[in-house]
Amino acid sequence: MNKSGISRRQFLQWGAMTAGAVALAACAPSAAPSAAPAASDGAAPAAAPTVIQYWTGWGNLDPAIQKIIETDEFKQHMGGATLEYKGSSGQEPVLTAIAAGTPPDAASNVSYVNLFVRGATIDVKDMADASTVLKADDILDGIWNSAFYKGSMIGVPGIECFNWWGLNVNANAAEQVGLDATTMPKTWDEVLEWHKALTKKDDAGNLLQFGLDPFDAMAGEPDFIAASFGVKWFDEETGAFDLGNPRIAEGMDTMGEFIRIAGPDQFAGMRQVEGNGNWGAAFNAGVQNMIIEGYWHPGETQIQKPEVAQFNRSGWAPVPADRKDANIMATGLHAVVIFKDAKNKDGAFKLGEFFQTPTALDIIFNEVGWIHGVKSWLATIDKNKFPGLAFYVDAGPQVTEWTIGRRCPINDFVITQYQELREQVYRNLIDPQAAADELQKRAVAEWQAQGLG
Amino acid sequence: MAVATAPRRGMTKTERRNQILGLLFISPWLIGFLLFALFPLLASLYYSMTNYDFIRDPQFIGLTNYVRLFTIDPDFWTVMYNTVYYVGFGVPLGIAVAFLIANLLNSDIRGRTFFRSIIYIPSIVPAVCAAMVWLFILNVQYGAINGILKTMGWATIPFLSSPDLAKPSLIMIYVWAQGTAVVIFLAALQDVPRSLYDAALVDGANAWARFWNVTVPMCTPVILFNFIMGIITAFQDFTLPFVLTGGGPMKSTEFYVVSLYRNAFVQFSIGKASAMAWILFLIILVFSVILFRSSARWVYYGGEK
Amino acid sequence: MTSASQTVGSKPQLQQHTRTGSLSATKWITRFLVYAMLILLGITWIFPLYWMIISALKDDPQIYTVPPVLIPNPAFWNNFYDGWMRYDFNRAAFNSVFLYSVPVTIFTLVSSMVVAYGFAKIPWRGRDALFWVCIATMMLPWQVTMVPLFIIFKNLGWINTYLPFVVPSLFGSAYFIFLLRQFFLSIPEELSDAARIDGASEIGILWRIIVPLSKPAIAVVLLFRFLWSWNDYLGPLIYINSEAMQPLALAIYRLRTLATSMGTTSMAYPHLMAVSTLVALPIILIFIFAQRTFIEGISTTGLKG
Repeated sequence: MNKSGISRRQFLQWGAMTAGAVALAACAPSAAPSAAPAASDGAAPAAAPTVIQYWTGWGNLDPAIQKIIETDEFKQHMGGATLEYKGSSGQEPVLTAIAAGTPPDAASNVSYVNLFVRGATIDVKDMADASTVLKADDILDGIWNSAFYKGSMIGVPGIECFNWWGLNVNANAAEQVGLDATTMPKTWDEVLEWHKALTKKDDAGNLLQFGLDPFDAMAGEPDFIAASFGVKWFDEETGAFDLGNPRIAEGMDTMGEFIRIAGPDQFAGMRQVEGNGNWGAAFNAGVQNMIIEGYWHPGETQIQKPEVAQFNRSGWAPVPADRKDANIMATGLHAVVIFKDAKNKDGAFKLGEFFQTPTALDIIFNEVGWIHGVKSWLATIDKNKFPGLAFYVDAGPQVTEWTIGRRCPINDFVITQYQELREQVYRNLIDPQAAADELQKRAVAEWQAQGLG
Repeated sequence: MAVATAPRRGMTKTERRNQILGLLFISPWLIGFLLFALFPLLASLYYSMTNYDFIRDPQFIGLTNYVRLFTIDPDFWTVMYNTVYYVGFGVPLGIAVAFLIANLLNSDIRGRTFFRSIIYIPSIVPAVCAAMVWLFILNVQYGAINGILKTMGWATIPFLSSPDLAKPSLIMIYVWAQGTAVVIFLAALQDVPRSLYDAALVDGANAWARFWNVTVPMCTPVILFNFIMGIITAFQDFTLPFVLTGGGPMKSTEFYVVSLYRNAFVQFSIGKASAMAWILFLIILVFSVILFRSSARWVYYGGEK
Repeated sequence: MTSASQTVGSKPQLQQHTRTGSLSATKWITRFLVYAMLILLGITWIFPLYWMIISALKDDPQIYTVPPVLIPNPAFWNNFYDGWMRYDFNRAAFNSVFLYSVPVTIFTLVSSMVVAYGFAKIPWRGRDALFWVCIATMMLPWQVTMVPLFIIFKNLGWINTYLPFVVPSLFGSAYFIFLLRQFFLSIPEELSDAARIDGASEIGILWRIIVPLSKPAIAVVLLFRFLWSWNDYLGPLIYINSEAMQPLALAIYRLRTLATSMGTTSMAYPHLMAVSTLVALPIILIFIFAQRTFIEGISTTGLKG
């Protein structure tokens, strides 16, 4: 095996020599511009001593980054380094870049645990210990702890992160159909009644608007269904899965009922155009009137669609009737992770640090609407700035069941399989329990296939 | 593979010169073949027997990837079924429609070039552009067709959002893009000797009989060629399902190469993806052998003119 | 004289060969039916392109209206400019043309001509056997080798450049080698021999004798290679990961993601349709101006659009 690796490399070198020599001669003019455009669009980067490449999957962070890099605090903290920022990069470009050995220095909104267990990103524990900016006791426990995996530190927790689960309702739409928006629905049965009231179709059965897409946004992940129905689907200590639990089956059926009422085909069609898999777009458009989302929802809606945001009300994420006293909440990780092949690891860490400072936090809060679980800073913000935000800020002490989300290294795989199987459930193509069992089987098989077991 | 050996003794000076020159001229292809075809093919055979994710080093695991694909993999058989469905219905339908259109175009009509252009252009429009517009024609909520249905007060048709209809819808688009086959068939029809039709006419054969007894047999080689090439290319379709439906709903349009791409470049299961690539290679090989075996005629039909 | 093929495709029960009187009536009905079918098919085939252009001229209310707006009034011609400027399409167009399509097309042509010359015009031992190998590689799907090729190019540091497309094009393309060889074979040997007597080198003969006589075949190579690289989606999807480097096909997909994400959905689809139209337009124009070359290329070799 080792031997074949060497001969392969030799072969490559030989190939590179013959191919490369001809290529260089022939296509130097055409390839030359490729080096140039990598530089950032704005200021001339020529004189900058160092560069930090930072990619995120978010599309709406750009205005905040623009303002952050203009602050004196940032320039001072970074020692004059320039930031090459790329937003809405999605997961695929990051993965391809990692595979190519040319990742950025840092990234956020990627599959943190997945990349970390494969060794694509580095343990930042030593850097964090040495840091004077990063203070463990000033960050909410759940968020701080979620930055660790088996004793190693995945990344600098933050840029944004807070409470993940709440039911948001467009109170105006609710009142128009005669619902009392002062009492938020709490159980799935209640939410379903609201959903029925809020779902409108034309004479031909075409969907005009609907109540809740129970699989949109945060609710689409296995973490949510499991927590709502009181199951721990993955034990990260033992690597055991519990996706075949009857309550998971019950959950798929219960939540699937929402889609059945809206009409699965109509629903999928709407999704292909409206929002195209992007969270919240349908809520902002007034098409979806309830959504299960996190702390960012009130602020984002306010910034993007104030006329909708003014009617936003937030409350506890739904649970089944027999668990009606359970207040479920999740938090987890958004971090600045540093890649193994990063060219500027120190700069990347400094960037992560800066996102913990009030300067950066204020800008992100005002420009994007996001908050971060830095205790000293949270005490300074106006929780009524965005309608519904107060629920998230005040939720902490009342939570009865915490979930630390997205801890499973094959979380992405489980999500894909879960998406397929729950669709089979709400299309009545499979018995819910059979779907749950199948999900369990697939997760275990993938776990073993990935050699993680 | 027959190896072109170095010039042997007994060659004339010209022959020796030609031997060297010939090899020199074709050497770009030969090097390219070794570097970009043969070597990657063998490399993917090696990777197909490993557990590899681009990040950690490959671990040799023998045939495990193949066994997993055939037995426990949640997607492989779904993907295979989808692809066989798409190819199995799409290709024959595409051939039939293209042949029908070619026959219409071959009639004694004005504006043949115009009609041929209209039929052909869809096959050269970038697939991404085509996907964007088909999304907007077929979408259940906002699509043009459903807009018309709604106007009539009828129920809409979830072309792309029902697992039952998504594959037939993609087949419809596939047929729409078969302009190339139309052009090929038209050329073949124009090559059918007029005398054969005249003779059939003398025998009292009606149009239907002439179609089945003259046109179809004369075009069989071209139809077969297109059929097999159609299977080979349709097996590799990627852009349309990837952009239009993203493999959904419910994985009903997750076709072979879409799945291969996802496994390789999204999930980073390089071993599994390589195994899928080799299975694809073997499938295509079978059809290629059928193509070469069934007749040598059409391989050269262009050059014999 | 009756053209036999004119009736093909019409309904058989309409054919009554009484050879007198009713013949012209039959002929008239048949012709009417052929036209009717062609017009119907033509409308069906062109509708998606019509819808693409027409949707590009709408604003949001017109896009979502039922019944669908067939002719937008007012028409928003600015959409073409706004859509193009909504994202860095200038950059993408530059990449598509100068980094991808043009170099790949030219290099493919030159290298394929050299190789084809070696296969067609120089006699040497083993030539036919290797030519068969060359033909066989036409059947090797690129998707089979895409994973190991990615690893090779990644190790060479070629990710996010167009080298993975440009460099292989220096080694000829089996399709075009085949096509050019067939064409070269049809050029009389006497011409080359006369030049050889005058002391011309083989390269000189290729350049001065063969190339001027092969313009139709060269045009086919140029057109199709350009078309394929212009339309390529999967290749750039794998190799190009920076926005500054992406070609048009990827940029359209990217705009779709951007334009349908939160808060920015206004005019998403008119702009997408406008940009799709602009990207498809060069291909359609090239086809209209070089129609004969296209048709000949397809009908002699079965090249896919």
